[in-house]
Formats: sequence, structure tokens, C-alpha cells
Amino acid sequence: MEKHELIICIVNNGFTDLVMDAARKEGARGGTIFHGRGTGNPDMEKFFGFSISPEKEIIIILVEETIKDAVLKAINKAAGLETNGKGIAFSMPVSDTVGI
Amino acid sequence: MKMAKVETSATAVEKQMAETKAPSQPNPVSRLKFFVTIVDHNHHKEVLKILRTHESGLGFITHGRGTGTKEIYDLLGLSDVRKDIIFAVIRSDQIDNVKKEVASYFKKESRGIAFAIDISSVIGTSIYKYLSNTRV
Repeated sequence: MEKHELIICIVNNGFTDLVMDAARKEGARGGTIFHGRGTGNPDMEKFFGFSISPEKEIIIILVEETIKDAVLKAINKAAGLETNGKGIAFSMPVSDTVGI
Repeated sequence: MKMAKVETSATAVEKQMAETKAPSQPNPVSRLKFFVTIVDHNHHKEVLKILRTHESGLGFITHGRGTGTKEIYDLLGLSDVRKDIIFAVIRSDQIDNVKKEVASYFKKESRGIAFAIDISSVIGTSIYKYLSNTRV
């Protein structure tokens, strides 16, 4: 049985299509998106005097271990910290996959 | 003149801890796994039922959406891409049974994905008992 890795990617709202397109090009089949809220940099709020919407979207993608590095690299290029997506991505090994 | 001689010899206290502590039987502690299931919207109840019958200590649900190729979704008229994501903690001795039942549920009722992630540490025995559902 093939080993799988779970890629978790957290990006700013509205950048999930970029991430998924990049991941799909490297062979990922699908992902699931849910919403979150960032907690970084509370000083920004004080400085500007209003709150900046820290809305984030979290994408979880299950991929084969062999293409994990390529997918991570593609995500970083498409929506990494240097881009407007300000995304971070990491992966972890999973066991006992069902339904793939 | 009498010199009070202070007894300085330390009384040798034997530490018996090491000898008496040897457990008579192996500790029945099994590792925990973080079990994630992704199913179509409104299908979480059956999954939770499976998890509960296998002594899952904790489970919670959040909503998400799938990102399967949109063209195909539109073509088939399946515009509903809403998903339920179920996070649960189960003991690793239950994982084979859970896997089997979830797989058969996927075959019968609803397509989905499930996987497990090893939990590396837990803080405190009470938390372990809570998560593993072994409270007495």
C-alpha cells in the first residue's frame, strides 16, 4: 500500500484556487477547504487603529508520498510568503488511509 | 569534660523504590491517533456513530468544501461541494475496526476520505484517559 502525506496549507482568503491549481499540476487530485482566522501580529491593529481582517483559508490535500515535495514546492511558488497569498504549507505523514 | 560526640554516620537508608516498583503486569496503554474523516455534507452522523461504538473519546465537526475539478461538477450538475470534516481521537487498538467500518460506509452510502495521524504526546494522565475513553 502506498504511503500518503497530508499537506496543510494556510493562505489568505481567496487564494485557494491558486494553491489548488498548483497542486493539481503536480498530480494532487483534490483538496478540502475550511475557514480560519489568523492570530499573527496583533500590533498592526493598534498601529492602524482598526482591525485588519485576518481571514484565512486552510486547505488540506492528501497526496502520495512521492509527489509531496513537488506539490509543496509548487504551492510555495504560487502562494508562498513572497506572494500576496502569504501562504505557509507543511506536510505530515498519515497512516490508515481509507477511500483513495 | 565530656565531649559530646555527634553521631555523623549517615544511616544508610535503603532505597527500595526501585525494587518494589517493578510492575506485575504490562501497562495497557496504547497510542492515540487523530482520525480525520471527510464526507459529503450531512453525512457526519453515521461516521460519528461508528467512532462512538469504537470508544472514540472526542470528536468534533467542521464544515468545508471540496475542490474537485469544477468542470466535472458543473457537467454532472453536482454543484454542492460542501463537506463535513470530522476530527476524532481514537486508540490505535481500535483503528483497524474503525477503518473497516468506515470503508464499508464509504462503499455503501457516501464517498469520502479518512486517514489517521499519530499523536506524539499528551499532557497528563487525566487528559490521556479522557482522550482514550478509559476513564473508570
